[in-house]
Amino acid sequence: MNVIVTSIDYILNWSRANSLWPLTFATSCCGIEMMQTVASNNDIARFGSEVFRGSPRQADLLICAGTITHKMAPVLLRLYEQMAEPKYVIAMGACTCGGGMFAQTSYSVVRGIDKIIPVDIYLPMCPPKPESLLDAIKKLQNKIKTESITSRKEFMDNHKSNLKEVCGILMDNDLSITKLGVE
Amino acid sequence: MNISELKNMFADCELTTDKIIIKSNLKKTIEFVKENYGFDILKEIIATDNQDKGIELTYRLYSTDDEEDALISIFVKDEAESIVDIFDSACADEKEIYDMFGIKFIGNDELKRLYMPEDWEGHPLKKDYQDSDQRLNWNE
Repeated sequence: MNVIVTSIDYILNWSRANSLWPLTFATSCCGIEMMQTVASNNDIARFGSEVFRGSPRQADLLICAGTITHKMAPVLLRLYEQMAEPKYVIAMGACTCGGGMFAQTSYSVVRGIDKIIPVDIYLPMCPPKPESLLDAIKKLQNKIKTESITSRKEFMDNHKSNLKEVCGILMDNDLSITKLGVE
Repeated sequence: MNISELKNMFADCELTTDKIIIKSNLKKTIEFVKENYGFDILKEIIATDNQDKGIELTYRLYSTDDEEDALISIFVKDEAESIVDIFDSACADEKEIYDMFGIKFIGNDELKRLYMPEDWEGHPLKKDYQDSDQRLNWNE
């Protein structure tokens, strides 16, 4: 049995890791660095991630490039929920990792997107250089290659159980996940 | 602008080095300045929280003929007259000031939160603002 699972894992992981399609999601200055990563000088296409999708249904990777405010937080959660499995998240920049320069006194910024959605790779710096984003994508690919289809299911179940609590805070205790357009 | 003419109209205005401070009749003053002196553009509305003295609203008007600015300011507590009838562009500024300072502009029908979530508690740029919303403290 294990032999079959590992063989399937090997093929699935190989194809998933080498065709990560990112979602076009840039909320502030990190987005500029992300654009530069796509452009010819750094060329994210060398790693199979050049196809930026406008629709979350077609994307595998959410590169969260920029500050997330409390008003933006429900939108981010909604986009994440609309993405099809398997889905991965890179928290790009200091703001998405832990609030960055807004961490002390800001009234509007979420202190880290890991409070809303599960994060695979943290990429601090303000903003990260294109090389750093490429490094993050390489690290994510290595992570995907060590994954198993069974562990992936546990990961998503864990997220689903946290979702209700997160929705309660974002939606002012009106516990309706349907408000997000999520099933 | 000739301050003495304004003084005849509104007895309680006061001239400092850079602006005219009025005590009441905000809407009338701005309408008067617009029609008689050609200040035809509203550049911005600035709000400053001065705690005991109240919140100072400063209106920066611009004249395209003379190419100069006029600053008119007024101290308010929590209500002010809206000037959307005179300048349409004031609407967005008034919404923002309502969002950040909690001033209700009487006469503006579209007054609602602009930047903060609609169910947010408090007005963040006031000096006595307390971080009471639970979204600020979650998971900490």
